[in-house]
Amino acid sequence: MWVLKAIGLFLAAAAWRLTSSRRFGALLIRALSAKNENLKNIAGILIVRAGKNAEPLLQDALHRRESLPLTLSLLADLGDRMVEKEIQPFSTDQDPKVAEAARQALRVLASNR
Amino acid sequence: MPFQIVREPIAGPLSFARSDDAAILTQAAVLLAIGAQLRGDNKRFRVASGGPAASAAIPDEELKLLGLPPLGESLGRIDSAHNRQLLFSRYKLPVPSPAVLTETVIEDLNVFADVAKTHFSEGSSKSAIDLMEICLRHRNELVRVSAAAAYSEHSSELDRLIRILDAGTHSTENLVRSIAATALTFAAPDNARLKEMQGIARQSGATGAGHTTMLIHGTWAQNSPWWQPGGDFHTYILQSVRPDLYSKQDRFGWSGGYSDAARALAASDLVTWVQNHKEQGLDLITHSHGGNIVFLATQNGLDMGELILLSCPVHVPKYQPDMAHIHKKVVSIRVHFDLVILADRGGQRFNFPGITENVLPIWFDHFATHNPDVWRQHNVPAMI
Repeated sequence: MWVLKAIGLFLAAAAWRLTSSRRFGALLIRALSAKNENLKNIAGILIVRAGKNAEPLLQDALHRRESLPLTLSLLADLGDRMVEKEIQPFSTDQDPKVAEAARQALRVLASNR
Repeated sequence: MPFQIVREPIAGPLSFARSDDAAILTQAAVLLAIGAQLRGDNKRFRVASGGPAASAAIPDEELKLLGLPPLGESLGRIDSAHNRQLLFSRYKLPVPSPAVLTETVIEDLNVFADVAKTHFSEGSSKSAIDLMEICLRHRNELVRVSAAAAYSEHSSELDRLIRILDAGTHSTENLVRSIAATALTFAAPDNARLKEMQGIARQSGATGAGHTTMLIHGTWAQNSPWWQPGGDFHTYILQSVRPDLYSKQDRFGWSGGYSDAARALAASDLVTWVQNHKEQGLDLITHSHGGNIVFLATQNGLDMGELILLSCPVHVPKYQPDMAHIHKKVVSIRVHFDLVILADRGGQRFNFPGITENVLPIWFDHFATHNPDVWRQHNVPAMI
């Protein structure tokens, strides 16, 4: 049942915050590809709330093209302009959804200045 | 003429000795913040959100920027006439009689500066009340309206404050009108002027044809099919609920980002979209933070008809509607104990004048509210 998995995500986020262990963060990253929209959203929100700690995990996911285009949006949601150069190449991606998400992510980052 | 953008407020009581735009806006902010402090908004908001210090009606760091002293919640109304008599005597100002009928402007800025100085050093409910009272006589209407808005839950002379707010709704300045109308919805929700404003907007055609409904998605749903033409929810709404649902491919969409910046950008884009499509007065059905984008858009001047909020996380006052721009009803539909809203640290229910809450007998599922089967099974169309 997705509700139990959701509770697991909340626990993983708490453990991640307490221990800074990437293992717990990786659980949330994995949940980004969940079919259940609730799980996907909860994981996404908890990742953004983790702030800077989430950045290397999201960058790894981006390099592996995992959970695109969501990963692009999440990187922009962290608000760190340093990730612009990593998002930039995706704005001309062959997948129009990925390209659009990258363009939107860059726009959001630019509006943050 | 609109106020100039303020990059940084003037900290401390100094702003009350000046009359430039930055000073006037800072004075308005100080007065509204004092009103929120006395109402205990921060305490209530933290309890409601179960959140940490960052989840406050007015963040502590912003109160610090204004230089405002902390102020405890103060319940009940004070005897305004008696308080005014003491205050005016202190400054040798003529005590008007009958006080409630005349609002003689006080020209001497030193009086405002001195009362403000006392409040910033003393930080008591009494000094706060004195500042609100004296500012009701300020030359600038934004300061007067802000004082009346802040004072409306603490003064024994509510009628007098409603008159000031009512006058504010006739201002040529959009900011003054918005603050006055919003405060009126709290202080006097049945006020004739509010109804008149809605009527004027409808009759004048300022709100456009108003025969269009549009769906706005929430966070990270920009590629989800449900809200797009051909998607299950779009099809259901079009066929069974709103035949006027916007179905062209150039429908409004936004980044779906989970940040204040993404939402602010989306709100600005929505206003532009509505203007370009001449769809002022349209009805909107929103999911999740899509609702908060519409709230921001109304603050940016979006005139709209009905607003239907599906599973909208409550982040008042950061995201709240400007009711003066919503010309029909606002209905919220949600489930019990929404887990996505829990992760978002948003409130689960609106306690906001003009928003009707409907909680479906469903638990946890943030996305149930845009499921056509849920709409059929629980007769959601009858709620809107």
